[in-house]
Amino acid sequence: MIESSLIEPQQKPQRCANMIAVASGKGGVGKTWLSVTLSHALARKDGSVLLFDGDLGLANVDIQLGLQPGKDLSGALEGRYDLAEAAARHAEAGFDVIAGRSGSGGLAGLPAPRLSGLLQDLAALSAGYKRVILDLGAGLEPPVRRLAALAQTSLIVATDEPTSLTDAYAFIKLAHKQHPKSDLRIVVNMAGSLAEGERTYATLLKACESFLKISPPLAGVIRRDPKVKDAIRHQSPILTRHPTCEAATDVEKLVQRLARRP
Amino acid sequence: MLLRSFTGKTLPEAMNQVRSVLGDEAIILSTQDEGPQGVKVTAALEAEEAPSFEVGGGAGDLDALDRIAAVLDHHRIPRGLMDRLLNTAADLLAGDWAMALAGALDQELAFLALSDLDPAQPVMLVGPAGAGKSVTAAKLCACARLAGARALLVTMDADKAGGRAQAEAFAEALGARLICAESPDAVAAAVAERAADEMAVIDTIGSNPFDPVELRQLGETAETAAAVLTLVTPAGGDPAEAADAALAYAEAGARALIPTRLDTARRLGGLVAAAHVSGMGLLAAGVSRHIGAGLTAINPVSLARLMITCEPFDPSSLLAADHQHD
Repeated sequence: MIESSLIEPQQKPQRCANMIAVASGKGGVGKTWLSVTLSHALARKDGSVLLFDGDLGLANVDIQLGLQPGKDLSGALEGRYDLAEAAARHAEAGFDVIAGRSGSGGLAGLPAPRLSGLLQDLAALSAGYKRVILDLGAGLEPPVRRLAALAQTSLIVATDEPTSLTDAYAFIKLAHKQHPKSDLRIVVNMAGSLAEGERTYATLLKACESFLKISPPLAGVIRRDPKVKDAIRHQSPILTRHPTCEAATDVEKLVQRLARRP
Repeated sequence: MLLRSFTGKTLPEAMNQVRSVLGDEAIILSTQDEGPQGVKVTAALEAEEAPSFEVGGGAGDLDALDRIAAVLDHHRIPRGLMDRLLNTAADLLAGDWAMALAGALDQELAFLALSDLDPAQPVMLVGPAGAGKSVTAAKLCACARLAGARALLVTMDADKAGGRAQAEAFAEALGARLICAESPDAVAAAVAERAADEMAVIDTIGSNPFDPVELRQLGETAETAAAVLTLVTPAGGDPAEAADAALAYAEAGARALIPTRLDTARRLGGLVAAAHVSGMGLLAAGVSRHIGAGLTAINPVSLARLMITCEPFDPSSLLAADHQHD
């Protein structure tokens, strides 16, 4: 039995119903910021939340949060301690974080059996939380997609830039091809206004409908807000620092919408 | 998916740009009024049957880039340009290597559609002897006639053996008016006197790209006639040679490029290098010596497909998407 699980590294654990993956295909669209803020908002609403930094190559969740975790994902991957031990508590925001480590090489370099082991551990660990947020790395490599496939719902973050739209579309296309019943939803970030964000969504939707014959719903529009930069610079969660700013309001609204099934 | 935004003064103008860059298969994703700047149209294209990374064991980005590199290498694309194209393609790899190549070509080369040309402006064809200028001139007249316009063919090449007879035969077959003009002034007078709805095409004698006097004269003739100087050059051939010649014509004022004999060329490095160094817009392509076959619109996607299908390895699979729309 043990041998067969080594031979079939593709064997996937079940999807975790309480897990939400945050994906973008492209970097620089505010994916990590959204993961952090979403975790914070969900922690305030639902209680126990785990944020898993799957962006191993360029991990910066801990930096955004001003955390200095003694233990992180790389140690767990090296087998120095259990994945559960790698979770650090963010006292102010009230959720747990498993930080990646910048420059640790990324998931792509991980041997397939190790990745399978990680996915199993993560699935097991997730059972102890009300909600789990996966901050996925940029790119479309198979490990990123396997991690995404663990989550019940994927939020695909896009901005109105053509490269972001193309990459978000590519992620949707591959995720849909891999699992045609995936629950994929679109978040437009850094929108000039709510109306502009809706237009960006409509553009991406049209591409999905024309080429893939699917209609991923809009999870939310988050407006471009100078307060976001300020919060990141101060390594402070925006919901604490600027709880009533436009971007914070928009994330709260997104969380309310998430509770509803599409 | 190849996604691009186009801004035009009017919606039809923006749509024309869409057609010229992405072709007729493009899907319009959105149109937006940009106020004084005009109308912005966002369009996208996806080859339905293009192979994705998954095909062939999901080897990933490197495999896709290798395939693009193999295509570029086959066409003898010069090293520096190849690196640029590969770098651009690497940024665009989104599940479809053929579209990534198209996107890279789109960024490195300029493309023009026949509809981009001002119908009031004559098109003056120049190029080395035997490039296919006269056949191209006839094809342009045919395009004008098909679009419902009248056509005026002005030839400066009536003195060569059979030149006049050939021009007369073309003009008669196409229902175009023919004027033989020997001097720049005669050309200018011929185009100036034409009717408002008459499209003018000027055919010239074969020229030597490396004779500065000859090229200066051609440039001056185009200027007097207010014509778009357009280089007609055969595809195939040595990339460095083609690039040098194109550069010389560009310096004389040529800003559009019509490649000919695409049906007989297996290496397009010369064409790509010529368009790249000269900055001339690829206008349309001659793929057949038959006038009736007309000119084929050339855009990043059709050029990428052509380059891929020129490759000896796997020509049939990529044409699938084309044929579905035929």
